Amino acid sequence: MKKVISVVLAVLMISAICVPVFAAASPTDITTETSGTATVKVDESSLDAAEWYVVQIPADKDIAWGTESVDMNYKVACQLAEGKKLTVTVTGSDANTMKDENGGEDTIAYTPTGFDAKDFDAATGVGESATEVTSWVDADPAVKLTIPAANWEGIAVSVYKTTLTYNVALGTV
Amino acid sequence: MKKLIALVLSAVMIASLGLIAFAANNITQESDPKKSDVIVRTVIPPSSESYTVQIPADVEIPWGDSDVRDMNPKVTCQLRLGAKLTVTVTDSDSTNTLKNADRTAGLKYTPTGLGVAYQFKEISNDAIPNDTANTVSVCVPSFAGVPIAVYQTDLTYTVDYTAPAP
Repeated sequence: MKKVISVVLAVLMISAICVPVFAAASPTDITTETSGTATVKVDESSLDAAEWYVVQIPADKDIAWGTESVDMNYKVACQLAEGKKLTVTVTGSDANTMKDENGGEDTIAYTPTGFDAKDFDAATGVGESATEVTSWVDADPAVKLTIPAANWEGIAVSVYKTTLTYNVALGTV
Repeated sequence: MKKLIALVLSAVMIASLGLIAFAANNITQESDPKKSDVIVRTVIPPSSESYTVQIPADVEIPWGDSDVRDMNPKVTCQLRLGAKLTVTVTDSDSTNTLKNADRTAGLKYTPTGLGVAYQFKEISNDAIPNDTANTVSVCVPSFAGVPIAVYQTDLTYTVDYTAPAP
């Protein structure tokens, strides 16, 4: 048994002489991933306060006696959340007639154009905010009052007036 | 016979102890010049090279914020002499546009450093391309004219390793 052990140990020690031959250098393999991604996105939590819209309506307008067409158009710029829209509707007081401001019974009827509800897309016009609009969109068809020449005849000369109301509503597409 | 084998084995074992001595050059009285060089050098073991390319976390830009965003990769590496590590940042959307979910609207952004193959030295510690801040960056100059929504794009960081020439 001792002899066997001694022979085995001897063989092992002789084998150790040969080890440097097996330890030659070899190319290095890099196995890590070779690509990755980073996402650039708009912060969703900042969107709630970002919406704005502006509907610019005309100032009060005085018209000359006998005027047959009065431009009362408005324009819009807005930036709303995706899927939303802006709707503008115009209504005239007293069933689209101008009443005598001095209490007289005569009236002047007019035919309105562009009063119907008009939808505007979420991105209408151009602007960074409601106070930085650089491009507007005019309503089409334009808001207009048409007064035939005949409606100016046969009535007392006085001050006649009507009130146009511009209604704005937010909705979804 | 057994004694002979044992004697031979013993001699071989003794010889292995002296192997290093036999591998050296001898300098004797006859040597001219009386000096000899011995080379000591490192052996490159397998997997000794390493690199880490740190890419930015996802960036979220508040609506209306036009600040420049740093998108630089950071590289830490230890490579063999002559090896090359390059990092290229690209956007699959060549129009430089953040897109909404159904890709019907886009928000233009201004990038710097996209498509450039930045090369890093064999020894780099947290290095960024060209050691210049904001070499790779993005910013959204204007948020006007598009519906308010989440717009996004993915930047891809591609790492290329080139082994040294043989």
